[in-house]
Formats: sequence, C-alpha cells, structure tokens
Amino acid sequence: MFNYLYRKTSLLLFISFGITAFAFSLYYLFPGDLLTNMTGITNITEENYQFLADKYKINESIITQYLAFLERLYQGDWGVSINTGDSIYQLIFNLLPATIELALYALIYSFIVAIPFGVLSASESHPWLDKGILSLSLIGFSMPIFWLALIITFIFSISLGWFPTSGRLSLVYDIPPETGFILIDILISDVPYKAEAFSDALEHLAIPTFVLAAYPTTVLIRSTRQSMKSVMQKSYIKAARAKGLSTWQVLKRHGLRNGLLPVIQTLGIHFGTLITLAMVTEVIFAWPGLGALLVDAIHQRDFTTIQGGLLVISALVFLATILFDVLYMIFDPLARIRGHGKI
Amino acid sequence: MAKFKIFSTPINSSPLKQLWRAFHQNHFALVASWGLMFMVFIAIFGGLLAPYSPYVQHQDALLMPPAWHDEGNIRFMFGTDALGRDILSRILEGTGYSFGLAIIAVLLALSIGFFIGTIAGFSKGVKASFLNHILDVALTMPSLLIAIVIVAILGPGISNTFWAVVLAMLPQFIHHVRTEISELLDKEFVVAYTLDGANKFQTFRFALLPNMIERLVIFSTMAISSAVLDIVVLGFIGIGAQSPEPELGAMIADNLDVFYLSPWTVMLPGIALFLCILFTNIVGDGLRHALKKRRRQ
Repeated sequence: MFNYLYRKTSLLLFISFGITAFAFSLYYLFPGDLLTNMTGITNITEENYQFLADKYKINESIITQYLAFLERLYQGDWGVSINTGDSIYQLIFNLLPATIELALYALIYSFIVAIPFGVLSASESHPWLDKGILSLSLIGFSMPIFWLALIITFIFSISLGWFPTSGRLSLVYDIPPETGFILIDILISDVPYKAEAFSDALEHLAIPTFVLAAYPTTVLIRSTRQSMKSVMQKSYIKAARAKGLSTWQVLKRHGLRNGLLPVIQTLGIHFGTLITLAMVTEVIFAWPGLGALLVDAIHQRDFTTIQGGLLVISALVFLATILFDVLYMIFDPLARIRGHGKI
Repeated sequence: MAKFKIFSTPINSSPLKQLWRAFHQNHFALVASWGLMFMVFIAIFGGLLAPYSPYVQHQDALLMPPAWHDEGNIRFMFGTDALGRDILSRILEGTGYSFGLAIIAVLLALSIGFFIGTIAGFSKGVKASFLNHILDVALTMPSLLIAIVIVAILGPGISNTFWAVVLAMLPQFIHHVRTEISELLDKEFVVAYTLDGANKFQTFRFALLPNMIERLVIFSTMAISSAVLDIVVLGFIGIGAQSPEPELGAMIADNLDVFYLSPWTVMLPGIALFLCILFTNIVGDGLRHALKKRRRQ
C-alpha cells in the first residue's frame, strides 16, 4: 500500500511539473508581447517596463523564469486579465466552486439513476429491458450535449414553463457569497427568504444537471451492466443462491460489492470528460463558472485568463483522476496486488 | 459407399470476411451501416447536390418554414433561417464540414498514430517507459479538453479546429496501436515467426498487421463519433468554425436567437448531426459484437 501511495505521489509530482511547465510555455506560445502575456498589462510605460522586466526576470534564463513563475503561482500573483484588469486568481477561484458544484450534482444524479438501471439490465430474466435500456443509452451517447440541452429547454422551460432557462439564481434574491457553492451559501446565510431562495436555486439547477448527467449516466449504465453480468455468473453468487438467500440479499451482500468496483474506475476515467462537458453546459445555460469564463477569454484573446483557466482545469482533472484511482485501490484489495508493476 | 459431409464445410474465408458475415446477421447494425454510407455520400457530394449556395441570402424568404408546413414553400425544402439562407443547402454542405472533416481527421490521426505506435510498440526499455508516462498523462485529458487547449493557443477557425481534433486524438491512437503490438509480440505464433528468421518488418507485415486491422477499424469507427462531437461542440461554443460557415454546430449556435420562434432552424441541423453520430455508434457497436462473436467461434 505504501509502495502504491509512493508511486502515486511521484506521478503527482511528475504531473504537477508537466502542467506548470505547459502553463509556463503558453507565455511563449501565445502571440503578442511576452511581458503583456505574463502580466496582463497592455500599455506598459518605459519606467514600468524596467520594473516589470526585473520582477518577471524575462532577461534571465528560462529556468530562472520558470522558478519565478512557480513562486508567483504559489503566492497567488497570477497577473491580471488583459481585458478587464481583474486579478486572475480572484476571478478563477470565485468561479471554480460553481463548476465543481454543477459537475458534482450531475455525478450524484447519474449515480442514482444509472446503477439501478445497470443492475436491472444485467439481470437475465428481463431481456427486453436490457435491449430498451441499451438502446436508450446508445441514443444518449450519440446526442450532442448542446442539442439535448436545447430540446430539454424547449420542452420544459418554454412550452411547459416549469423551470427557468438559464442562470444560477433569480436576481430577486441576494445571497452573500461565502463558499461559492450556491446551495451551501443559501443554507448558511441569514436572509428571511431562505426557503424560497433554496427552491429557486434547485429549479435553476434542475435542467443543467439533467443535461450534464446524460453522458455519465450512459457510461455508468454500460459499465455497471457489464461488470454485474460477469459478477453474477461467478460461483460465489451461485453458492449464495444455493444457501437460500433472496435475490435482494444476494445483490446486497455479494453482487453489488464486487460489481460496483469497476464502476469507480470507469468514473475516474470519465471524470475529465465530465468536467469538459460541464464547461460546455455552462456556456449553454449562462452558468457563471470557469468554463464560461474560459470560452469568453478564448473569444476575446485574453491570454492571461486562458492560461490561468487551463492551469486550474487541467490540475482539477488530474487530481480527480488520481483520487479516483486511490479510492479504487482502497476499496478493492485485489487491485492492490494487480496494481504492482503498473504506473 | 463414400459419404459426403455437405453441411460441415469449414469456413476458410479471411478474418475480415468472417467479421462481415457476423456483422450482417445483426439487421439493426446493417441498416445503420447503410445510413452511415448515405451520410458519407452526402459529406462528399453534398456541396454538389445543394440547390443553392449555403451563403446566399434570399431576402424575399426570411424564416420560411419547411415545405411540409402549411406556410412552407417547395423552393426551400427545409425552410430558411433568419438571414434567408436555404437550410437544406446548409445542411448538405455542413455535413461535409462536421462529419467529413471528422472522418479525415480520424484517418490522419490513425496513420500518424499507427506509425508512432508501431515504432513505440517495438521499442523497449527507457524509451518505452518514458513514452508510457507521457501517454498516461495525455490520456487522462479528455480529447475535447485538449482540443480546447489547442484552439485557445492557435485561435478560433475551422482549420485550427481540424488540427486540434487530430492532435487531441493522436495519444489514443498511439496508445491503442502500441498496446496491441506489445500484446501480440508476446503471442506464441509471433515468436514462432521470429524464430523462423523473419526480420522485424516481416513479423510486422505478416504476423501483426492482419491481426490488428479488425480492432483498428472498430476503434476508428468509435473515434469518428467522438471527433464529430468535438468539432460540433467547438463550433457551437463559438471557438471552432466561425459564423457564416455552414458547420452544423456553428449553424445551431447561429440560429439560437430564433429557436423559439422557428424551431426548425435548430432542429433540422441537429437531427442531421444526431443521425451521423448515431449511425456511427451503432455500426461501431455492431462491429464490436461481431468481433466478439467471431472470436468465440
């Protein structure tokens, strides 16, 4: 186990180096003036230039510049946005919770929906159910996320008027941002309209969560179905049945425990896609998150914001992937043995 | 008297032929493969079939509903958008952009990935483990995110999108080919080839290649659907193909303002897109099942 954790830590170090080196190289890859790309200040005067050149060490070797970059990253001095002049660090970490919130709820939702469906479709006694669920998941898999979003909005927001079309919270409610997670913020705030604001936030969440959950749900259904199918044919399941356990007992005590382990692994593999799709969902629903910020920055060629956004998102994806991997190892003792000799 | 065994002739056809035999027993997938061929046909010849240029604006027919609608006009089969552009022409041309470019991107990534992956599969030691680490890092990033990163560096535009998608898919192809080759190299029949005195190229050509093709075809089919998705999503969020170009994702984003007024401007390109991806996925799934069936025989 320690050996495994050691390997994962070294991978983490390798990845951190990779990400920061990549983010640093963006300074040179982006077109335009090097110092502007680093600081985000567009019109640098003569006397300022000398000061900034010293501070950012642009006349020294690449390695010194990289080390200075790491130091600035650590201190939270990430430069300012080229367009608005706001601090990038502030901007990104104010918006990051919104993205994580959306992705997290979608993940929880897809867990709740996908696992029962996956287990049901794995059972031998309902072949028609299996076919139906599989073709539904194939359709969900083939639907471009923005098109699904438009159809759902058209039906539930425009025609039926049940849910709002975009945004995170109605402008009527003024919730002071504490953590950045809207539901938690409402719960810990002391405003008189707490209950109304909470239900309003839930209504705003409903459609984006459902749309974003479509992809992980289909993936999870497929992987649950496959692993349950192979687990239910094992001899220990037969032995449990022969003992006289009911179907539910067999599932609870033996089937799910073994069948759901590969699902954790699948989740880790697809978490990056989930975050990317969350970024797209944000753009569609005007959700004030990191993805919307990044896409806007790409439009406006705001290089400092692009760099900061990419850095945070890729770090998030890698951290989550490693975390899921560690979780998998903790839950599955067999994988620990198999894990030797891998990265 | 000699007895003839008429019904138990062994199947001696090539693996690909056997795969096809197993594939076309699945009618669902067979129909989808015809649909896929139709879409490929449109992607290639769509521009020639289009009744109008996708850019020309018919001022006398703004937001015309499709022909089957009461107020529709047969001049514009699928209606027109807010600028009076014929939607049928734009879809025919746009399929070439979204679907055709995705196929070309996959073919390109396949050939480059095949080349690098083969070399990597044969190499051992430090070189291989270094490549392993790089690939592991690259594979953790989803292809759409890599594409967004590349577009962010290169700037928006359809040609940049194309290169972004190619580069984003490359690690997957390299990884696939590399694992396939290193797995096959351990098999006994390949070792027998080497012991017979075959050099590396001969081993590759006669022992490895025939056993890799099927899986590569399946993998590429699945890659096409994700490439289409990447291209249209980039187009939709406005950092891929730019506005007047008839790329399907950009088209849908263009017509968002009039979506609630005239839904067909968004629904029809969406359906075309959905069919492309669905057919590709069904064919890929069918091929995978067919391969499983054939291997079991």
